[in-house]
Amino acid sequence: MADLSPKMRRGIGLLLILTALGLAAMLVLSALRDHVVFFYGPTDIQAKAKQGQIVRLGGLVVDDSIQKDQDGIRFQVTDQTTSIEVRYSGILPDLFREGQGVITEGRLDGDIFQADTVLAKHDETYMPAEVADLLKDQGVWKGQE
Amino acid sequence: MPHGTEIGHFALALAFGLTITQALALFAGARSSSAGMIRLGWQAAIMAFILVVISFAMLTLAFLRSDFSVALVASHSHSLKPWLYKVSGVWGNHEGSLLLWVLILTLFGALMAGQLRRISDGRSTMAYALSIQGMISLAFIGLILFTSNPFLRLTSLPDDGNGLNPILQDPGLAFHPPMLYLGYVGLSVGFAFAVAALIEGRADARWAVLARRWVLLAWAALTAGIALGSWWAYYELGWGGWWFWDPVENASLMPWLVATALIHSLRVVEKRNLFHSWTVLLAILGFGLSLIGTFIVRSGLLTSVHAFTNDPTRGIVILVIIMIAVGIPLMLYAMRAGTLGRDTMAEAHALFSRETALQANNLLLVVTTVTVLTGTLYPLVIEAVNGARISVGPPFFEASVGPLLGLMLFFLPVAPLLAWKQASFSKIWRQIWPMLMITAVLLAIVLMLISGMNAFAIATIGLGIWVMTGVAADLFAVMGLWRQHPTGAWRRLRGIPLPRLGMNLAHLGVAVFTIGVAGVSFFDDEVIKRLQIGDHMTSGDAQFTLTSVAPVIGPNYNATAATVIKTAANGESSEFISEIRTFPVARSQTTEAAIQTGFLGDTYVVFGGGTPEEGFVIHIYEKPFITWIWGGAGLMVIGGIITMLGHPTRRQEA
Repeated sequence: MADLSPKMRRGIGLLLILTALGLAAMLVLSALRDHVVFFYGPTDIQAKAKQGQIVRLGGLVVDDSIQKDQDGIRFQVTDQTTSIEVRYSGILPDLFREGQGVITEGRLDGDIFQADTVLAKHDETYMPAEVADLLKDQGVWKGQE
Repeated sequence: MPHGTEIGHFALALAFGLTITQALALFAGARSSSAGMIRLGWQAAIMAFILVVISFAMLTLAFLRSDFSVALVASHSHSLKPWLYKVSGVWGNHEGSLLLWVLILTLFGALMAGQLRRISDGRSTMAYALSIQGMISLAFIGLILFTSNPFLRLTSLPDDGNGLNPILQDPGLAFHPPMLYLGYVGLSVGFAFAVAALIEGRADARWAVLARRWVLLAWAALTAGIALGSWWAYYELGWGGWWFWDPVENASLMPWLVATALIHSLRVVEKRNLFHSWTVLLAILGFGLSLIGTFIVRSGLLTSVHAFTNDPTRGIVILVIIMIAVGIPLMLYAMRAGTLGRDTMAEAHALFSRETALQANNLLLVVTTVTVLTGTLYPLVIEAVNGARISVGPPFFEASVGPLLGLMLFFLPVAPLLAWKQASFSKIWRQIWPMLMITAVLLAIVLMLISGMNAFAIATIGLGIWVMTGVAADLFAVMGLWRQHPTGAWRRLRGIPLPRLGMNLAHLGVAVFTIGVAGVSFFDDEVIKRLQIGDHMTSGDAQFTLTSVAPVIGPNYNATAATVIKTAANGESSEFISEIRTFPVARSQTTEAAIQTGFLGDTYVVFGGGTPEEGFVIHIYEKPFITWIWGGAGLMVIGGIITMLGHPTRRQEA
C-alpha cells in the first residue's frame, strides 16, 4: 500500500473523511428526528401534543394543589389561563414549590399529564427561561424584564 | 486588615497594568529578539500573578472574616457557615469565579514565564505565547474591574449574609470549579502557542514539544474537573444519575473532546512533523470552546440545571471577548495555515500506519464534538426559526454520540501497535489475534454469568474488554514478549518510558470507564415505595426496612433523617441514613442520599419525605459498576500527568 501515489492517497483520505462526516450527519439527523422533545404550556399542550408523545410541560405550580396518595403525587400546573393535572410517582426535587415555576417531562394521558421527570434547578429564585417566556406570552409575567 | 478589600482591588488594578506591559514587551521582544524586553515581559507576568494572588487572598479573607460590608460577601456568605464553605463561597458566585479564572490564568502566565527564563531554544515562540497569554489576562481582568467588581462595599451594613445556595455547600463543589477552571484556562496556553505559531508562521516539532506538556496538564485537569462535577451531581442531587447531557455539561465535554484530539495530534507534529495546520486549528478551537463553556454558564441562554440568575450585559462582554479571541486567530489562520509546515520536509506515510490511526482518532473526536454542539445549540436555532420550544435530551446524545464513541473504542487498542510511516499487517496480526481471542473468551464468560443482555450491552462490555487487551498487548510489546526471551521482561517493563506508561494508563482508564458506563446504563435498577416505620421493601435480592425517621440539627440547617436497614441475601445487614436538610437562611432544602459504595456497584437510598399518616417515600437505586466511571477518569488523569512528567522539555534528537 506504500506505493499509492500521493494523489490516490489524498483521494482515499478525503473519501474516509467524507464517509465519517456523512455517517455522523446521518446519525445526528435521525437522532434529532426521533428524540427532540417539544415544550408546551398548559394551554397549548392539549391542542399540539399527541397522546403518548414525550413532551415537556412547563408552568407554575398552583397553590395548595399538591396531593399525595399511594400512587404518587398530583399537582396542578398553570399558565394562569389553563391548568392541567400532573401525576408523578418519583421524588420531587428539592427546589419544587407551590407557586413557583416548574418543568416536567412526560406524556399526555387523556386530560392528565403523566410526568416521568420533574426538573430541578440550582437556584431557588430562578425561573426556567421557557416558563418565563410562556408567562410573558400569556401576559401574566410579573418579574423583571 | 480593615482595608483588605481596597488592597485587593488596588492589587487587581495594578495587575491590569502589568498584563499590558507583559503583552506589549514580550511581543516587541520576540519581534526584535531583544533579551531586555523579553526579561521585562516575563517579570511582568510573574508580578501580575503575585498581585492577583494578593487580590484573591484579600477577597478570601473578607469571606473568612464574614466582612459583610463587602457586597459580595453579604449576598453570598453567612457567619454560621463552616469555614470550608466560606472559602468555596468565594467562587460560588459570578464575580468571585471570574477572579478565580484570572488567578489561574496568571498562574499559567507565571509558570510560562519560569520556562521562558530557562530555555534558550524556541525563546521567540515562547515569548509570543506569553504575550498572547498576557492579552487574555488583560481581557479578563478588565472584565472584572469594569463589569463585575467583587470588591464593592455596601453603604449600610447588614446583620448577616444571605448564605450560599445550600446545594453548593458540599466538598465536591468546593473543588469542582477550581479543577474545571484549571482545565479550561490551561487550554489557553495551547491557544497562546497556536497563535504564536501563526505569528511566526511555523509549527514544527520543537513547537509541539513546547506546547504538549501544557496541553497534557490542561487535559488532565479538565478530566478531573468534569469527573468531580459528575460525582457531585451523582451524590448531591439525589437523582442517581451521573451525566445528564445538560448544556453546561456538554459545554465542558466539548473542549475535553477537542483537547483529547489535540494531545494526539501534537504527538504527530512532534514525531513526524505532520498535521501542523490541523493541530493549530484544534488548539484555537479548544480554548474557543472553553470560553463558550464559560459563556453558556454565565449567560442563562440555555436552560440548564446550572443556570444562575444573571445579568445579560456581562454575557455580551464575554461574547465580545470570545469573538475577538477566536475571530482574529482564525483570520490569521486563514492567511498563514498553508505556510506552517514550510521548513519541514514531511515524509509521506502509508495508509496503514499510526499516522492514519491518529488521523481517524482526531476525525472521530472532532465529529463527536460537532454532534454534541449541534444537539446543544439546536433548541436555540429552532426557537429562532419557528418559535417552537424544544429540548434535546439524553436519547439524542445516546443515539448519536454512542456509535461514534463505539467506533473510537474499536480502533483505540490497535493504534498504539501500529508503526509510524508504514505498519506491517502480518506483524500486527500476530498481536491482534490473541487480543481478539481473549476478548471473545472473556465476553463469553460474561454472557454466561449474566443472562438477558441486549446487543448494546454486549457491544459496550466487549469494547471495554477489547481496549483492555490492547493495553496488555502494548505492555507485552514493551516487555519484548513477542520477540525476545522472557528473562529480562520485568526489567524492560520497569524501564518503560513514562509517556508510554501514561498512555497505557489513560487507555486503561478509557476501558474501565466504558465498563462502568455499560454497568450503569444497562443493569441499573430502581424501586420506589411509600413505607411506614417498620415496613420492608425489596430491591434485587436484598430487603430494606425503614427503622426510623428523626430530626437532626446541623451547623446551619435542620434535617429529617430516615434510617433504612438493608439485609442482604446472605444475612449481612448495613445501615443507610438519608437526610432532607432545610436551610433557614437560604429558605431552601437539599436531599442527602445515603450511598453504599462497592467495587461492583453502589446501593443508593434517597429519602423522599412524607408524614406518619401518609407514609415515607423511600427510593432505592442499584447502580452496578458506577464507581468504575470515576475510577476510569482517575486513571486517565494519572496517565495524563505521568505522560506530562515524562515528556521531554526539549526535543531529544533520536
